[in-house]
Amino acid sequence: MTRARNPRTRSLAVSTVTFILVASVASTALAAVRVYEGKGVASARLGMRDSVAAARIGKVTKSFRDRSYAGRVVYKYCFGRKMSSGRYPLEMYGDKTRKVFQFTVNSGSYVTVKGIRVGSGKDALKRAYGDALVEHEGSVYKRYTLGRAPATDFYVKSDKVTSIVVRAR
Amino acid sequence: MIQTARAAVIAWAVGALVTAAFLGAPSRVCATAPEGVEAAATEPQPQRPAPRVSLASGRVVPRRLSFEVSASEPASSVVISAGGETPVHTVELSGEASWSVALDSIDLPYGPLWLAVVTRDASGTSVPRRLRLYNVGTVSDMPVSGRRVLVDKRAMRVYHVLNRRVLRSWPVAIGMPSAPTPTGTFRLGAPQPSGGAWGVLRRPLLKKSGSRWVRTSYYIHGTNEPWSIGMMASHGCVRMFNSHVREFARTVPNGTLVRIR
Repeated sequence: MTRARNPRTRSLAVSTVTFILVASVASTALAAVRVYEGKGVASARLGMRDSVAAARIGKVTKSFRDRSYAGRVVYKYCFGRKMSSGRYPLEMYGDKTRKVFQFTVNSGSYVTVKGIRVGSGKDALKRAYGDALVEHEGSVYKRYTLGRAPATDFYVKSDKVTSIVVRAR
Repeated sequence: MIQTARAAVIAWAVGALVTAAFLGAPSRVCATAPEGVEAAATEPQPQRPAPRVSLASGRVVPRRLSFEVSASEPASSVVISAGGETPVHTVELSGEASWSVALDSIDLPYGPLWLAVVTRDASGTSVPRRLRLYNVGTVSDMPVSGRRVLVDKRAMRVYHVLNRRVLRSWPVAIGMPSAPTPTGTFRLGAPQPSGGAWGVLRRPLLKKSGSRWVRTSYYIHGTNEPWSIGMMASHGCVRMFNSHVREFARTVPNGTLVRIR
């Protein structure tokens, strides 16, 4: 038994898919969280107590005391759903005094004041910040740094921003 | 009532299709071939043989590089490119078959790079001679003889060097600015199987204290976060890809001196 292909049904299906696509793009744009260069994410700021900063950002997906490295005490907070790459959209780090010293943004749902997000092109990044960016060659990524301390690093691979790091030092 | 709903659905579908057509337009524009492709395809192929190049300094090079280029055929110019595309140095010649070219004034890209040397004449351009070089900035702390591991934080790369010749190099992640990787001379400990954030294995770095080498809390290790390689992401350790750290453990003997700078 063969199913008749109704042109109206087909156009309805196409329009539904289109609507979902447009709606998802629009919702992503509307839901973008602000990244403040050299300061923080949303209303969370560098130097703030980690629990307060985490509450200001939203629901913490995962948090742990990371004791794997060099005997240093680091508290790590992950926000959002784990991505297919294994990263979280936003990571926040607190030191042994529970002060936030770094935010790492790995997702395009966060956008800087100048409109740069993960996935933006290198040219757009240079246009947005101009001479204020300092370029560093690297073995895998190119790093563009804005400011000294606090600073914001934009990691670029294949001419696309892959991570934005807001750090205290 | 049903007719009204149907009319609304049809109106919505038409609107969505118009939107789809509008959004789809740029992809059709991009489908045309970019300019210059045809020109590149018709460019004449190099005919002349590659020149011979001898490097005085080996493959680990300082910022100032000098080397000698010679060719079996006379040429009007020799062009040196670093890092792939852009010519960094052009020397005009008067038909000699042998030249000594000094790149003293050339700012070579930092880290590993490909140097390409071609000769040109009215008959065309030679096949490029490609050389793999490692610009490590300064070579004074690299021993002329013996084995050494150099961790170059600026290039975010680790080099396995024997007699000032790079046997292999791997990209690494280093410490965050708030938890930097320490600099200095260390000794490499034996590989230990590990897991989690350490990756497949880790090798401790030993620091000299008096006459003894004592363990530090820093390691060269693998990772469970491969995307972090090439970033300032660790808490002071040197991270490598798991496949690279296995190779590192296999090829670099225990006790090798490690210079981190």
